[in-house]
Amino acid sequence: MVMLGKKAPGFSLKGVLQGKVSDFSLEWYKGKWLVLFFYPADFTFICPTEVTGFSKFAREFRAEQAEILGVSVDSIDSHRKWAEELGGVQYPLLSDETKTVSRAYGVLDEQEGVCLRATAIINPFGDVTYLVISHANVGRSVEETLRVLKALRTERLCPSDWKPGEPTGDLKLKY
Amino acid sequence: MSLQAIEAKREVIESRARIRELVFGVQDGLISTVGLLAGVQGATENATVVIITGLTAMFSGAISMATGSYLSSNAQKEIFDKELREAEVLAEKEPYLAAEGLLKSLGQEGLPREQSYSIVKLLLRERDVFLRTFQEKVFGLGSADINQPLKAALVMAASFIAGAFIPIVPFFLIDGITALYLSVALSALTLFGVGVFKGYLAAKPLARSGAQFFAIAVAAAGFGYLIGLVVQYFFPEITIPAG
Repeated sequence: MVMLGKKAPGFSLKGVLQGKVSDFSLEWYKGKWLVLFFYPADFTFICPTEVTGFSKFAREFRAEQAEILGVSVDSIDSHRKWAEELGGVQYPLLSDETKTVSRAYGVLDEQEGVCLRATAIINPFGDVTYLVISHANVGRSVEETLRVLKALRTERLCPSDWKPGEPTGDLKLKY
Repeated sequence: MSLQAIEAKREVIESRARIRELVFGVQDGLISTVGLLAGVQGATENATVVIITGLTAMFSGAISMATGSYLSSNAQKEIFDKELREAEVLAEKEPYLAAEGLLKSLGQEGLPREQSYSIVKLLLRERDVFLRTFQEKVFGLGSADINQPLKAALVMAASFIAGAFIPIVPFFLIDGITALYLSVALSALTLFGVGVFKGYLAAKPLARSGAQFFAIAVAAAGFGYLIGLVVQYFFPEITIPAG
């Protein structure tokens, strides 16, 4: 089970990016921010809104020194076809067919055998700095994830609904 | 099989959905009338009285059964129609839920998710087709055409009259207890015949189907007779008024 502020469980999974299959490991993202988002399944109707949503904002995430990884329990072949169906995805889709990574992060729906809608932001030191899980019925807000990433990168105290460019609270200020 | 033959087959299937009313009507008409005729024959031994009683019971029974059939079918249809409307509203208001629901249903029928997704995506382009498929696959609301209250009532009435008239026929021809025996024999034979007909429609062994109908109906009549004996045993002072 992932604990906020603790080291993110390591993983090494096969993934698809631009039709090519490669291995992706948490180790490779040390020194960068990583947005790791889990979703239930390829070829469904809510998930593509999220997958394409992250894809549209991939450039903005990269501008924040962050990479995105999408994870589900579907096969590599399914991911490849799914990415094609969606007209291309700008980040890797990882296959957690054995469900070990989903389970390690505590985001596996054991009954359905699929990932929950969970998003983790891991800092350049490999620590989990943000973790949110929403009901399968509700798709996530990509812009909210980006806003949180930007807030985390300020390393300052950010009030509720803080937006980039707005003043942050003093780091030493106690609320 | 040609496309026309498929369409014709569909109509046959819909018409055969009336087998419920047909069997119910004939069986009930037969059993209730033959029981009544036996009682009246025993009490009066007057063929005219037996015939008039039988015909009265036949028409009143047919009206009662047809009304009951109409009301029950109509109640079922109204609920069915309400469910169809609710499914339509749901699909309109929550298209994602409807799409996911249909996706899951197709998956449960054994279709891989990737193919199910392609089908649902295609169906989503045609609102009405999607809606009908959604109603049928997700909620099992696909047999609306079969539920026709008026037709059900008419079939029930005709079947009851046909069933009830058969045991009356011998009393037009002969008198006394012989007419009753013939009436019972004709009723038994008709029950067997209805079973054979059902076997023909369902493509089951005819003799077995006939015997099954015959055995169940006779067992039901025998059980009723047994209850009468039990009641008579415990209340020997009760007698059935004659005439």
